[in-house]
Amino acid sequence: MDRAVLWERLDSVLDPELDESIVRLGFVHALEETGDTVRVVLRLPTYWCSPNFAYLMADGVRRALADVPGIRCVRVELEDHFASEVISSGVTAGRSFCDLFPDEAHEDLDELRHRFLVKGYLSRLLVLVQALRQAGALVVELTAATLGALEMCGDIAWLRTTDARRGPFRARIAARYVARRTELGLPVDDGSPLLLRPDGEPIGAEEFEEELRRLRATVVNLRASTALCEALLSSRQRWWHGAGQEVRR
Amino acid sequence: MITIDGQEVFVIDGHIHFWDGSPENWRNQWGEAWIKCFYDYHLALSPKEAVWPFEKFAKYSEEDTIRDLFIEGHVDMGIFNSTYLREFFKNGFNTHEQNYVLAQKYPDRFILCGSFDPRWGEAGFDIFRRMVEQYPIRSLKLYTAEWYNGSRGWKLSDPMAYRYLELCRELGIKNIHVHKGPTVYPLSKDAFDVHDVDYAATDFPDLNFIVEHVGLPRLDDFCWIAKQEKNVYAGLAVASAFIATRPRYFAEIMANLLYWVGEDKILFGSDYAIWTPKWIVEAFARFELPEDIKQEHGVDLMPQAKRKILGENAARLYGIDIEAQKAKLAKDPIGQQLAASQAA
Repeated sequence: MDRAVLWERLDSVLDPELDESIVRLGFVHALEETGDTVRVVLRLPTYWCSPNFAYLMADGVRRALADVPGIRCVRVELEDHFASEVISSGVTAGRSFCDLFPDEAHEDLDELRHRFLVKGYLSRLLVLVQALRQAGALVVELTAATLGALEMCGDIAWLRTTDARRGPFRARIAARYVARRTELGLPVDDGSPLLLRPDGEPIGAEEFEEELRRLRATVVNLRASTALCEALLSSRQRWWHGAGQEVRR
Repeated sequence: MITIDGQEVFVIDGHIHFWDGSPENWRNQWGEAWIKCFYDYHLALSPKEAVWPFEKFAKYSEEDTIRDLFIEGHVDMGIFNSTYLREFFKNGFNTHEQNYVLAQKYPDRFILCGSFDPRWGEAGFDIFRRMVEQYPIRSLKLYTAEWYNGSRGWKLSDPMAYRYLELCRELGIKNIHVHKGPTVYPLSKDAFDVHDVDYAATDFPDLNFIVEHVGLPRLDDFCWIAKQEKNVYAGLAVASAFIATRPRYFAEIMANLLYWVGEDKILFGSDYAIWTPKWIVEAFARFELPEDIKQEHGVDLMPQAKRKILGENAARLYGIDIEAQKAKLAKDPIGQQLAASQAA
């Protein structure tokens, strides 16, 4: 088995709230394979991380690895969480969230997942807009542009306007934005507007500034939460590594 | 008191605790996990010189509290955000009874929050009334993620919560601090967010709702609500602790709050003893928004805004005349100790 493939698959699993890979966030504590079984151990920043998000990540791991050729069983273990056992055994058995928390969860997590996909979309949109503004793009150029005006070439990207080329900026920024548009079922054809609200309405020049303000609040929330989670995870190492040890900061 | 721009500024710490998280008080593994998680927050954002050993963090003394808040921490008054967690701690975590030990000794220094839980049902009305009669309860701290009898949370918009809010009206309690911060339960999407505050704030326009932790990690949702509702305020606890080790995020959070909520509706809080106020207050007094953030958001954090956030806004909500209060505080044992140390 090629472990790089497994890590690559794991890297595609996101923390739904932070819109970031669980591998990059450091949540994957162990990855082991024995024959056709793969075991993944997750450790989250706090013992109290919301079980709905914990479930989405654990179940995301199972789904990401389940169809890797040669893998027949994915065992996901959530460690040191107040719902460790329920989530670990439940996810490994492929059970739904409502099934695991019958008295407390009244709806499946699709709506929650969708809501955070949208927040992630807003964040990716803002990052794209900021990258383009820094590259000199004017508001009217952005609101008039279509998706087809994005040119990606290796690691860099450009935006073609009627009489200029704005860039370069990191192609990953454009790729992440387009990928999330696809996930949300928003149009991704070359003729569709570059800037779309999550409801599919184009963002015009008049409402651009107001729209940007709302995006900023969403994004600072996401970034601050990510910073907090990373700091908490780092503090938590202390308990796992023994109290005498220096805390990694 | 802290000096900003050559002027003395009155400081009300809107979010403090006097807890017992020691092993003797743990009811079960949840109590242990709770205080360890708090300690992780403490380690995660405190500057090195302000880090405590875990044993002290789990249970600190009355003397520690007085010193950390008033003698060294620049705080003039503090609001006890009582937190009960009786299912995790044998005697509760920091109940109003525990906090009252200090509030009784220094009545002009502390504001005592009580609480209710709608899951007590009608049977709880008497308990609530007795609490307000027996203790100098001036406000409430509500914790919607509290576990109780198998339930793992409630909403401010629940009908029974409304009955208790009506009781608050009757008993003259106007300020409701609501924990809307990092949370565990409930599970469904409606209940873990901040929108229940929106309903209650609309239906009880004569009450003030101070959203503790500014809804982090739902800052954006909180901003939309606070902009619409005149009686929704931002409590800075947790957000304020970003100031030393994550100043850029602190600046971005503040810029958003200043724009959406406004400088008249933001209340300072340290969340003591998760963090000590000294370093937060000092850093806040010096803090300036980076130029690019000022430009991008079109806001600034001027000395006047700092004065309001550190004390004047809370004073207004609690009907405190700052000059009269200063004169009173100068004469209490803490005021005398401060005067003596300044003279020395």
